[in-house]
Amino acid sequence: MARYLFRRILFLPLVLLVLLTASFFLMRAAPGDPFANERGRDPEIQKNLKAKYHLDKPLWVQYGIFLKNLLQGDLGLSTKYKDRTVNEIVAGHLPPSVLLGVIALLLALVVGVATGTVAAVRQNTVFDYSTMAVAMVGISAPTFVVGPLLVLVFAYYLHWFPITGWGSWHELILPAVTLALPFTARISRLMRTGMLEIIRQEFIKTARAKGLTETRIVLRHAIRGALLPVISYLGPATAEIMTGSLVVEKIFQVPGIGYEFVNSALNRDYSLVLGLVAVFGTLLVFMNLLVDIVYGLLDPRIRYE
Amino acid sequence: MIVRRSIFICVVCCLLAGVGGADMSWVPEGWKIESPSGWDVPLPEQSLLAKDQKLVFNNGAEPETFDPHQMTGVPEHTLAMAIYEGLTTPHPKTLEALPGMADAWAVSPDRLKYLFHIRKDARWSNGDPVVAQDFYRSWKRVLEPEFAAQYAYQLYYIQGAEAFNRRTSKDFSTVGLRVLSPHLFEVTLRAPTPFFLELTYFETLMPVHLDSIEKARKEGVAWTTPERLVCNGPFVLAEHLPRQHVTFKKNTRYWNAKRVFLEEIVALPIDDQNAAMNKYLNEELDWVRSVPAPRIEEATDHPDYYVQTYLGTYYYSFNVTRKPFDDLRVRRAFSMAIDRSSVCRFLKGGQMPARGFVPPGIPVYSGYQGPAFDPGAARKLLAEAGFPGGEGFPEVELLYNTSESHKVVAEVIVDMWKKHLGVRVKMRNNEWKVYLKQVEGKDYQVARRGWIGDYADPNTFLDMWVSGGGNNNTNWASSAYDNLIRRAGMTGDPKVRMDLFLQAETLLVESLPVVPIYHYVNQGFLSPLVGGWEENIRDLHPFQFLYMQILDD
Amino acid sequence: MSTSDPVKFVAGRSLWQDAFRRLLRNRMAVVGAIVTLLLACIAIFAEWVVPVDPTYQELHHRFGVPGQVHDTTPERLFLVEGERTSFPPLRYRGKGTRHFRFLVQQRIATGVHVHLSARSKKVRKIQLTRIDSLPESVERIEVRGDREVFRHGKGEEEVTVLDKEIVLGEKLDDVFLPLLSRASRGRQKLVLNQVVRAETNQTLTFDLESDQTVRGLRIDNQTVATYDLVGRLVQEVRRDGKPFQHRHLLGQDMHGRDLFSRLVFGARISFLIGVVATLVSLFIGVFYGAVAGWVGGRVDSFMMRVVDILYGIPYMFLVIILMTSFGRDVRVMFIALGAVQWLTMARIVRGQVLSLKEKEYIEAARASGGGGFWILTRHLIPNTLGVIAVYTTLTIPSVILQESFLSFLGLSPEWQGQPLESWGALTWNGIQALGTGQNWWLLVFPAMTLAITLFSMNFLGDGLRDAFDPQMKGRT
Repeated sequence: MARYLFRRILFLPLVLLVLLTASFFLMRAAPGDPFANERGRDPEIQKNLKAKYHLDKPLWVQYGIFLKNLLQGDLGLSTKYKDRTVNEIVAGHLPPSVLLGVIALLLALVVGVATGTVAAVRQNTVFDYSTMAVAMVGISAPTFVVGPLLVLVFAYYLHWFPITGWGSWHELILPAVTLALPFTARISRLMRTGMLEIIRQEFIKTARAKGLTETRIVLRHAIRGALLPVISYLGPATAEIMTGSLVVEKIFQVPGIGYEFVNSALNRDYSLVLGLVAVFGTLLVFMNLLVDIVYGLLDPRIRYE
Repeated sequence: MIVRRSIFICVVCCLLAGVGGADMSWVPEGWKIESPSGWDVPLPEQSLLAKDQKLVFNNGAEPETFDPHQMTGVPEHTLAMAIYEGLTTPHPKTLEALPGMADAWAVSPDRLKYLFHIRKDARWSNGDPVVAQDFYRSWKRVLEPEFAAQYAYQLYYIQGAEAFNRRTSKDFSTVGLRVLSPHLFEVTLRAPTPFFLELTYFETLMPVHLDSIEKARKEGVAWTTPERLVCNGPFVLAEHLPRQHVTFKKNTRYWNAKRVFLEEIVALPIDDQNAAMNKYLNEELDWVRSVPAPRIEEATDHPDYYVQTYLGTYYYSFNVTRKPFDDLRVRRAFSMAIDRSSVCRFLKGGQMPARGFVPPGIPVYSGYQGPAFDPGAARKLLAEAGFPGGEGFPEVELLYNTSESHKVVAEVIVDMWKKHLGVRVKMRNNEWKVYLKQVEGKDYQVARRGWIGDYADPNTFLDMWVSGGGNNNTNWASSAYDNLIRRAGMTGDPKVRMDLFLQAETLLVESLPVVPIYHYVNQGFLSPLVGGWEENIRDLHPFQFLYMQILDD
Repeated sequence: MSTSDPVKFVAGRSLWQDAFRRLLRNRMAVVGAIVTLLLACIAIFAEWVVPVDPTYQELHHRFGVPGQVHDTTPERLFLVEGERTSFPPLRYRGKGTRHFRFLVQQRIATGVHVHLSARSKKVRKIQLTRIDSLPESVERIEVRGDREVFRHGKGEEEVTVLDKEIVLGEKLDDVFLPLLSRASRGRQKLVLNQVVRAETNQTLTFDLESDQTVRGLRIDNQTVATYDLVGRLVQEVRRDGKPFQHRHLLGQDMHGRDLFSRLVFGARISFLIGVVATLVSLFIGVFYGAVAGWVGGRVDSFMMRVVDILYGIPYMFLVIILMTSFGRDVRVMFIALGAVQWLTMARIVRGQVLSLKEKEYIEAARASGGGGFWILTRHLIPNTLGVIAVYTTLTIPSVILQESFLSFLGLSPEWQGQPLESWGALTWNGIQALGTGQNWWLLVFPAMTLAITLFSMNFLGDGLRDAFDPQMKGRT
């Protein structure tokens, strides 16, 4: 286990390097430059600006500077937000994103696991069918449709929440629910199948024969095994939550890093894009690692080489 | 229902604050004092002022910076007006330069020199006095080539400024700025510039507190944070939560603080026009500065909707060296085949059809009307150019930057060209940065463009079309035109000047390197609770004149 | 099951039938399959399905509500002496008789020439007949062969009228031969000459009869020198001369375009992106996986390590960078989205190949001297087709969803600078036009179409997987 983990951690920088290198050269190959705007441009001023951001140097030198600064934890200067460094921007916008993501993931886990378990235990009942039907809708309805509709109903017509905004708990609910919906649906489905498989196995029958109550059987014995597919789904789910947050942060005007990403790519704000990619990449890679560890702990059959 | 303007009682505020009004010994022999004596703006009736003087509005974008010298956008400019004040400050309605940091100014007989008297009670928010030296150093900062201010050209009207900024002169003393005393600041222009005073309230010409900037630089931190930012405007930066809001509090050290009514301003950075409008309808905002195009009917039905003409022109620009638009007849045909009033009717926002390039609303300038909509004549011209009924017309492309509103206009106009000229024009949209690169590289045939005036004077719309001008992306060059613009820049006679501009505009509109489509408008929602807000063609609404009011029913 | 069991061969052959039978038992999967096929047919035959050209704007009917019936909008048109101009293409496709109305306004006109362009060479018959009655001030006195004599205030006038059926191949008037030769892109152009008299504010109504789809209607007054401005408005009308009524089943958008027609064409784009991007991922994934599984050993573990590394990458972000950098060309989108999907495909195919290559028939093929590539393409990949089919069905909806996601972020695909209006783009337009719910149909219908499609394809995919691999039943 330790050796496996060690190897996985060794891989981390490699993954990030591949990602950042690809992003770096893709961004630089894009037409247009960060300082272009509709007003007249003085070539002299442009030259000065480029020098300030090291954009006048050959590409490989820029790449070198970028890597060197990155190793020192310096993500550089944003060409758009002139008052803040990329580090400051990321530090400012990361907490809302993480908060939103974690709450959505927890919400999805709690609701998904609960409904999935009940649906499995009460297989072929009305509850089972309705849960699975709702789950299928959850999977098929895109976040960007659900979000605006929730805003319209709960914020505009019912006045339960503000239309957009950030800062207090009740401004967190709509975005978190929107973001969590597809994951809740998927986890619920996974949980149901996992649970159905487990409760048909011999050891459950034994437990039942011992006279344990159904609740006890499910909570004590079945849930652990049934959680495995859910746990292994958490890795890809993190990636999907990140991409989902691009949409949710846009709809609800959440001051997170996802919101900034598309705009900064369109603005050719090189440092900011790369900084955000680095953050997203690191988060994802660590989450995958975490998922692997949890999986190993839950499933004694897994032996890492 | 709208009581916004009716509740004024016209009390003229004659605050002859400071010394300018009394002691005139600083005015040189023969110079004329041209400054108004104070803010000629009606005061609200005390009894109607709301208790809670807090304005919440949507600024439309996260501000890129609070450094006025690095600003380039409208949202930043709006905020700069809250926290900084230039030598002058704009009248909320007429946009005339009112006394700001300078309580009076005098102009030399040849109109080349301006002497500003900085008011004695002008203070920075940390208590330091604002002196002439602050302006000298601030403007020097803008002009330093290393500082690379994108809007440095706003100072090019000052003698020697352009040379210094372009590194042709290393010596800053050649720039026409002189500090005569802590309260006297002399500016020498390279030519009589009637709109120079209007420029002095532009953000690039606002002063910054260089000592605190220098201190922050030494510490390696940003000087624009709420804790560090030292400013001289009616408000101070109280809180900045990126992408959430910017909060301003009244600046008690502002020289005219007793004339400032708002205690707090909250600027939101919502860039989703739909969300902003819904927030307004939900009474979460007092002022929204945009209306989403698909909801224009809904907006115009709302009592709080406002629309004001804007100093800007939406136009299509031709690359006149590329076939087939190197032929004036073709350009003319394309212009005459556009039914501009139809376009505006479709936009529904009160946009005005544009046949001239300079928008209306500029005092004492009449403007020239170009060719009108005449599909028959357009087709004849196209036939003369060798394309009867569009037959044999080469494939052409209309370039615009990706945006629903540009697409809408392009679709309508392309349809008109197809119907009236029999010409199929392909539409191409590109992302903003790619589009800019293509336009700057003159890598297009027809392109959507827009221009917003920097000041209310024809010059801001016309001097850009001189041969090789930085914004002239049409390859159109006319020495006659250059000559007219140069003469207009030199003359001191306002009547001759306007006449030269009219000739220039006539030449431009008849030569058609550009086809004006419509003049911009500003639309939005303003709560009747906001008082002191005036319509003007530059959409400038200085916060020191705004207040929250209670409605008398 | 033992790999040396000869029964396996028989079982292998009936695998597809077996799977098919299992699939038929899954009711939801069958419904999914039917809906998917139906949508695919609609996407392929979009031109035949739509009632209206999806790009046709009726600006007078911005945000027309679903089910609304209204008259077709007259097209404004200006005609000037000595010139030709054409009406926009005929919007209402189909065979049979169509009627058109010209509202003559402004100045006095004496004639209209109508030229018809047919869509294909198959057109056998096009007939144009004037059916309206003459205004009181003009009186038809006599018809002499193909000439009519009119009487009006200024006296009598003789006008040529070709009021007859024209059969393809018939030699037309010399005057119009140059026009015929200009027929573009190999399309046959039929020209029919109709000269009529008209006065200010007079309505002329024509019958247009065709046994095939007519592409366009062309007004030509080149050869008539005696009048100036002719028509201003043209409109398709019913036999009784009243304007054609048109129903917009799902409403109209902010340009007055028919939402139903746009959804039908949107289906084509969404499916195209889904299918092509999936094919791209198939191509990369199948070969990568097959090679890794076939070669095995160090190469395999290296190749799979690469896949592991790539798995750790937030791919969507690279796609977004790619789309913002290289424009939103649909080809970039094919490759970008395909590149996201190939990893899973590669893993699955590798697993299959690994288990298959130990099988006896592969051994046999190898023993009989087959080369690696030959065995791979002839035996291994065909035997993984079931699994590939399953994952293809599951990948297409996920690509469609990703495309709509990109559309929402403002990165909708385009072709040669023209936006391609996929379902995602339509949904995004709907969100923008939603307001406080006034124009709900613009969001609800595209979103529902999108959801139903994803729903059906997911059910079909799940059903297929259960059918092909009962072991995997229920696993996502």
